[in-house]
Amino acid sequence: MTDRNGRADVLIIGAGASGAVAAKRLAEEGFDVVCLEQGDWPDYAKARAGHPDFELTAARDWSWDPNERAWTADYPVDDSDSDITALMWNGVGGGTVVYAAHWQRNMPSDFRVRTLDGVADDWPLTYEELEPYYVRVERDWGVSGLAGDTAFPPGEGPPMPPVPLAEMGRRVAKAHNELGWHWWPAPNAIATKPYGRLRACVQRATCLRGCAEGAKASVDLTYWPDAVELGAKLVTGARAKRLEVDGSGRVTGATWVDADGNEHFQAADVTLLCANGIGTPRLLLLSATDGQPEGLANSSGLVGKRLMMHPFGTVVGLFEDDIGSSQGVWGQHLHSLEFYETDPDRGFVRGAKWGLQPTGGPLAMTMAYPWGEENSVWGPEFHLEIRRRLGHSAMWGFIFEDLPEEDNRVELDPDKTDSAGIPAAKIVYEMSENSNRMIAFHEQRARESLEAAGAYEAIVAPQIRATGWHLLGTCVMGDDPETSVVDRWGRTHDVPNLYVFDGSTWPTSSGMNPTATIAAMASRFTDQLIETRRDQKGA
Amino acid sequence: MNEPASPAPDAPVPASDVTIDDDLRATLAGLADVLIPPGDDMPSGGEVVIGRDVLAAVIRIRPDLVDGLRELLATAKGEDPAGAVARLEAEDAAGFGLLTTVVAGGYFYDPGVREALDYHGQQAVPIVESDPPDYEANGLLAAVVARGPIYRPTPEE
Repeated sequence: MTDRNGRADVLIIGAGASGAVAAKRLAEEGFDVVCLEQGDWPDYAKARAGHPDFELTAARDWSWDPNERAWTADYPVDDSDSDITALMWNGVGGGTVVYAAHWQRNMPSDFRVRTLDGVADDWPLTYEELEPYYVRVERDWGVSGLAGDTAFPPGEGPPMPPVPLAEMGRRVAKAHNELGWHWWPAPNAIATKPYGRLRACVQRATCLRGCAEGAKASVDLTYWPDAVELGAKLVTGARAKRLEVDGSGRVTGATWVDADGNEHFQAADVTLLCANGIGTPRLLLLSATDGQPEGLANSSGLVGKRLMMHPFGTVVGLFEDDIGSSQGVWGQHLHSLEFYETDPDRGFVRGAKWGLQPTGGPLAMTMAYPWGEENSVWGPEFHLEIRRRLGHSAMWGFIFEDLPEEDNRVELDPDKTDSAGIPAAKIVYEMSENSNRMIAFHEQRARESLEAAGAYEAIVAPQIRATGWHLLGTCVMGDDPETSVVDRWGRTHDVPNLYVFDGSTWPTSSGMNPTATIAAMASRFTDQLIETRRDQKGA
Repeated sequence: MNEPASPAPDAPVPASDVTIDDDLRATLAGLADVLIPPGDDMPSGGEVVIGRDVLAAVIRIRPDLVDGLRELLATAKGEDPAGAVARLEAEDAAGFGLLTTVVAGGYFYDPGVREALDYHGQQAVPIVESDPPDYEANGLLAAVVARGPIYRPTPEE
């Protein structure tokens, strides 16, 4: 590392999945890396999975909604004009701290949506080009699963064996075989044996509320300690306020605000934005200049546009006997991609991935989601309903692909700010008719799946807003500067030393949980940045 | 710069001197009995949350709920409990959510209730590799493989 009065080779904004992958790789190659992270390290003392107060504390201490948390690290997201609420974790690890760890590669067709289905856009790369990076990050990350899934081209599988199917999985697997439908032992970013810094999972089914065991592969565990040891500097409590630009149009670094409201400046030769599909366009819009009044790197006008968040759905099956469904991985025990590919006869294009999950403890049995307000437990049937559900239920969760539409977007909020006075984000998002048809189709098929598995009742969960875990598409990647924000290597067309490495770059959303592809893309982008290091010119 | 956190052992719930007065406790007991009546060899919500004073534990664990709870109970005080529950459910989603979190959260926190439900918390169940793996038993996975690939390959350029 060289001392250049604090000037970094590479500045990374955001310590989530893509930022962590980039930071570790760059640090390995001897780059002087500084990462600004608006939040702090996760406090796993608050991950209470093994304690009686778990269900009482989980939603408060591990809330996914920045508007509910309203911590200093959070900026408000006005979602009043959105069908879906944006969810995120603003801290070291980003969304991986509270994700379900469903580790889904995209399928080959996801990279060729225009060619195969005549809608949206192709990606400027193929599955085959990304495949080596999937393999790499699956080893770095700590992924469990099984090679040979018939939904993907043959190739190397994850480094650990899959999680057990569990009783629910065995029943559904048998049913799908009878129906002739696809299933496969699920890929999860969950350690099934000790692996690197990860401990082995003990199936408490509490993955979404901070893994108390240290078994879920979140990048605060799997990447950042190594990156820091290698010399990367991770500054927590650092909210990026704007990127600064010199007279040549290159980014000189970022002005940021600490927890006490004091402003600082971090200089760097190259800046990588890894702040998620809302935070990244927000920062570009915040960095408008006289010369670029519509926002930095926004000559295409597409910064913030094409927001995709994946409508989400759930169908629960109730079983007569105890299938142990208060425990397991959450996570997914198996997945099905039977209805992932487009079938024109269905009346919509694209599809969804299904993941089979447990339903949790007794307090979860009382909630309006996924059970539905019409199935309220309260009153004379309370005890009967709890016994019907607790340990006797399994659910399919669906990730529905939403197509990019320019009206679905991220803007700067004209009124709200965070606690440092930095303008908040506003999202505008409307679910499409294609999505609505897709949801109805899949929910009906999932009923059939669970009933074939022996469920005596299948409940379709209500469509709720608080499901926007996946924030994608708002700095679209492509070869044409007029129709894209970044090129195929994540470099902005307008600013040669400014890159976007997170899910903002996705031309389409796929119907998969996105972390595997975000990580693989970040790894690929970083390799290219390293290979072209001699061509880089700082400000 | 902070060091990475690691999974921590149990941390005791700090004591609390926050209390809810007897009138409001009686109101809460009434509402809890409507939400969770006795039956099926199980106690009522009021019997557990107030009778066994699980409320004290809930207050220690979730002091952030106390102000809202007091306000909600003050509004419901003197009202028919069934009517108050119905009003909250229909008109005040946040208040109803708070009430049910306190009542059901407290109810399921109680060791006696857990025992009666045969629920012992989110237990540690280590993963044991079976031989053959469960997905291979009875030819389960072989049937999937036999059906062949289901993906569309990357089209030729």
